[in-house]
Amino acid sequence: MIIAWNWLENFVDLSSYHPKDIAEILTQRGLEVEGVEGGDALLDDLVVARITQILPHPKADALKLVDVDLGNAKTLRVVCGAPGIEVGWHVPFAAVGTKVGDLLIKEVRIRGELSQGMLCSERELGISDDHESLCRFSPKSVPGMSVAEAIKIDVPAQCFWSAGARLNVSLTPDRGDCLSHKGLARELASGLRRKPKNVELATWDSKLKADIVEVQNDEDCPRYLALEIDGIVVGPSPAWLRRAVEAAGARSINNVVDVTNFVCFELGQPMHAFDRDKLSGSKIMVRRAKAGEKIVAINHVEYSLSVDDIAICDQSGPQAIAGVMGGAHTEVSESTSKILLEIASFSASSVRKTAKRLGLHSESSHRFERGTDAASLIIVARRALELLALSQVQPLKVVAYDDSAAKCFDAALAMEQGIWSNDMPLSVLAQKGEECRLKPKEISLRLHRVNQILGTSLKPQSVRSILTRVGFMVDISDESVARVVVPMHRNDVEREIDVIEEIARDLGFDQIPAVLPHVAMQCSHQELSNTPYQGSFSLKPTIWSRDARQRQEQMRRNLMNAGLMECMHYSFMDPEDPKRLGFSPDAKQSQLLHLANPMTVEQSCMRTSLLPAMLRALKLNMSRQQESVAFFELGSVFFAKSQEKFVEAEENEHLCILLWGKEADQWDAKAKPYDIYDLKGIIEALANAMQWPIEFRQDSEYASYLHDGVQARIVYDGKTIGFLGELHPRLAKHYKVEDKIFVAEFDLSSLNLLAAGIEQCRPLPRFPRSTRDLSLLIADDVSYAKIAEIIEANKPDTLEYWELFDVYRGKQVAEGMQSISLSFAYRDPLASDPEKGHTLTDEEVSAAHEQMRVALEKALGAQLRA
Amino acid sequence: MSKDAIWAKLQEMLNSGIDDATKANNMDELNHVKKQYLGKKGAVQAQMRYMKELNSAEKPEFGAKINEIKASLEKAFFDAEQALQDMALSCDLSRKLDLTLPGRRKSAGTEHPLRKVQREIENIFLQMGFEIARGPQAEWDYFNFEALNFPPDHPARDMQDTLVLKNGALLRTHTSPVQIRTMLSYEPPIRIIAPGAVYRRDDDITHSPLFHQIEGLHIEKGLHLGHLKGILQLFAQRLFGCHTQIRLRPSFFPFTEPSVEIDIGCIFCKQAGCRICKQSGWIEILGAGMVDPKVLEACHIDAEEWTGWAFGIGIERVAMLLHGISDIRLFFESDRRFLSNFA
Repeated sequence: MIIAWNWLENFVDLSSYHPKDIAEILTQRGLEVEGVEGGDALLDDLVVARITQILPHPKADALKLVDVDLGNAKTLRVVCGAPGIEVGWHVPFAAVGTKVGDLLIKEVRIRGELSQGMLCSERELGISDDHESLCRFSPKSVPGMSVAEAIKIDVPAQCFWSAGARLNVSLTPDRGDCLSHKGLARELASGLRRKPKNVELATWDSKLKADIVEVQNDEDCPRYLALEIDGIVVGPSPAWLRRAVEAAGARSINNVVDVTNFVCFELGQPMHAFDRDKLSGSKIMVRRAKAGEKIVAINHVEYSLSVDDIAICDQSGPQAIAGVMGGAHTEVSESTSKILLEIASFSASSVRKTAKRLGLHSESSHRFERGTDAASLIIVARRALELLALSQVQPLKVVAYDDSAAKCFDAALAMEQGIWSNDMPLSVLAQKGEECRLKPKEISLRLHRVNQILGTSLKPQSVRSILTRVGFMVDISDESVARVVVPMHRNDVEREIDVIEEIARDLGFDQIPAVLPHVAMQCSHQELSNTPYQGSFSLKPTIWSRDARQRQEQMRRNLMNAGLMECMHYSFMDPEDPKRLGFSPDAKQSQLLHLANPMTVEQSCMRTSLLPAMLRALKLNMSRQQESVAFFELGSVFFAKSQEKFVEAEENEHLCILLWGKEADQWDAKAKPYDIYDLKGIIEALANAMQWPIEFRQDSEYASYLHDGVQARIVYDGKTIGFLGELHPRLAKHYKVEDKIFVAEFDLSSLNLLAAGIEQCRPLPRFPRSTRDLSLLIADDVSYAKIAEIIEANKPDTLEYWELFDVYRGKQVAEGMQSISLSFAYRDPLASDPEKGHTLTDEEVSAAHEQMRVALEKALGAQLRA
Repeated sequence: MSKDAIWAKLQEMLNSGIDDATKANNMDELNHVKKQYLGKKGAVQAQMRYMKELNSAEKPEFGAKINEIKASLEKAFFDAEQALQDMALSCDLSRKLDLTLPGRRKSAGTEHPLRKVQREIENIFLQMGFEIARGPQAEWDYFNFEALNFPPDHPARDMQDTLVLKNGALLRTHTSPVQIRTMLSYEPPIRIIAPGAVYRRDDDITHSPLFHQIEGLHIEKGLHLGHLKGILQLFAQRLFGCHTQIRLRPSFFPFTEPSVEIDIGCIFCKQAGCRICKQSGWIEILGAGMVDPKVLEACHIDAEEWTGWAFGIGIERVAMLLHGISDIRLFFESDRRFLSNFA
């Protein structure tokens, strides 16, 4: 919302403050000012000049030689490029030696012609963005008069010729009462400890009351005030009116529409003017629309209404969508001479629903959604009437009015009229309010609760003076419970806690002491035996144990130590991705959770795999000249368990790893490209560190997105939790990668449930070990897993440790064979006992080693390699 | 052979031994020569053959002479060994490597900046006795809005443009639903922080459709606004440095009352005014407030007996601030050159 400095000044004295200070004060009160633009107009040094002669420039078609009269028989010649200027105009003149913005005016020759000053546009004066031609003053101004004086001519009191600085205020949705210059000034007045000011108001004769309004439902429309005004002359707005609505960000339409907008920006109450002669029947009706009723709004779009919409109707049907937009048929036009002015309150939630459903958001709906002040309607109407009269030369008159809630207690008005003051007991107010349907809320405020919530030690007297300052009425005759009457414009204050917030806000948060609480420490949160939750959705425990978190940290640390970079991607997916990866429609990865209002197709469902995003990240890095990628992501995936409504989705945590390219070369050694065993090693080391009992199996079950021959499934507790392998060449081709890509993805949900075992230490051996190697020729279709199985099944108790140190297939061995080299370490099993243990003799080691060799020979036909 | 002749032979052997010892070029040669002279079958031992040519009076003298020669030879070999070692050492010391050449490095992994900031914030609160809580990202309107005092038709819902799912759920717009889930499942007192991904229908240089928040909730008997201020000041000082100032400004969130925005004194210009704090000296960092009684009531917690405060902080915002990142999308693109900035 744009707030104009000079407008704001009509409602509160801002003298001695700079716009930046005011911005800071408003921000400190929760009314955030996002920026301050413009500033003081350049008025004092400039004078009015009357154009007396315009001659063409001999050397430039776009320029003219302009003679101006500066009063006192003084004339000067200026070279001017402004189009459309005419003799007789009164315009601002900057003499040689003055400054216009950053420009110092000098006597210069422009294309050979002498120019002795400058004529200015509105933009150059700093009063608007208009730079089309020169700024024009009223013919009533006198040449030589200072511009500061000239601008006041023809501008009514409390209106202004230039907006001054503009504050861009960003309001939270609870503060509908501040969506106007008056509202903001009211708040500012409490902040500045100054009294708010009031503006000029017209009146009408209360005898003109007529039965011209019918409201079907007071809840939809708590109050509807209608004014029939005759003698209207519709035309372009006078400059002051046009400038005001433009400063507030609206477009100037005509004097009537501009007045309604002016009042809306000034007082925060939207209003609408109907062409009375185009309304049929004698009455305006506020009722729910019938389903399918049509209306063409002033934007010339036809809308179909529903029974949830409030419509303003005449005899023939809807003529406006309440609080949202008027109808084209009854729109004020140049032929209008009589208007019906609507000043009303509508249900906030109803206006919001309608505006949302029709996609019609206006200054009006914005304010109604946030709540308006029903008590202010008379003042608003009087202000509108005042301004309408000022906006046209011809006199106008009110011919009829009606008010659906005539007995609305208007506290502000009551105070203004001296019916009620802050020093009077609330009972007087209550008495006044009793007979009214619309009256202010009264709230009980426990004074101890104020200090309990705020951590302050405020006395009842201070609470009273704070609340009075922000416009509340307070009775503290009971020392412990105050009675607080909320001003009608504060729709957001409904409960004791809201009043407490008001106190904190006006007191200033810097007055709240910063203290650290003394709390009883506990090991963990205590789960409720019975949840009070009655709904149908599942409540899973939320507390994540310190142990589980620590294990996740350990897992991430382990992966980073393996040289991987941690990534985070959006958890969306392209619905085509599962197909691209080769998942069948009934695979879990194809059970997509769809967004109803996605931003793009690529982000239109929740991911069921981390892989697509990972491959996209790889592609991005390839396109940016990277030679390798070693990434991991730990993230959530989502599976729709059913496409039915309100079935909870399954959210699991997956780990995805991708290797591509090679590690960085060293200056004295070339790095080898990544291969599948790099990937497997990372996962094995991780499983080892995390004590995950996972296995790798290469058997019947295959992942469609991996190379058939270079993949294995990852198994935990008999179940497949994921795969690792080389990306299927078909997919690699799709991603236009010629090198091999190695990927792994697996589900962590069950592994996350495992608790860390505490590492146990065994006593260190006291006797040395002996190492023997064994190189065997074995058929090349025998898997390493099989060899390991045979060794484990046949190992003597002196075999402490064994490992593979070479696998060779090639020219050195016979076709169909592989050479497997193993290293075996033998040690006395009692080696940690200094009494019972001994160093194994050569004979003992040889016997054990032979036992191993024979077992492998028997089971696998393994021959010693010569 | 006469005694003199034998003596001469011995002397000759000694001389040639000393000579050979000094001629050895390395330890292997030296050991080899040493063995030739002093070994079991070496030259010294071979001299014993002269014993039988000597008379009994000369024999002890011969023995003494042999021992003397042995000792001399041993000394010669010892000296030669020392000399060789000295030579080897000085030879080794003459080596010179160019240590301005780069070292050999393992390619280092990196932690994602968002996780890093998240972990740092978590640690601060864990040390204060808070626990971590987590909830689903595909959330129901009840937990995300209704129980948090967002009425169904209230403009407050516009503050968070929601991504809706076809199954009737939505993608949580903040981590606040974890507050509700926790209060419905655990006894007060409650001290939790809830980190996680949240979603809004937004996409520009400072807003991404997915971002991360950390929510805090503290319910205790006798908690007041001063405690919120005290703990968040301590938090800001632990995260941004011991001299960090905080400032509270009134704001509005449906689930807290009073609600505040918290600014920290600009850590870049020490509040002198700079580009990052837009010359104000303050940087907006988080939203907080006292838990609204309606929220406690929705969770069946007696708002008269228990009070609480809550806060929410955007992880991206803190990470962008701390690391000088101007485009939020960099976090999710996985450009190696970006990720390499973090250890």
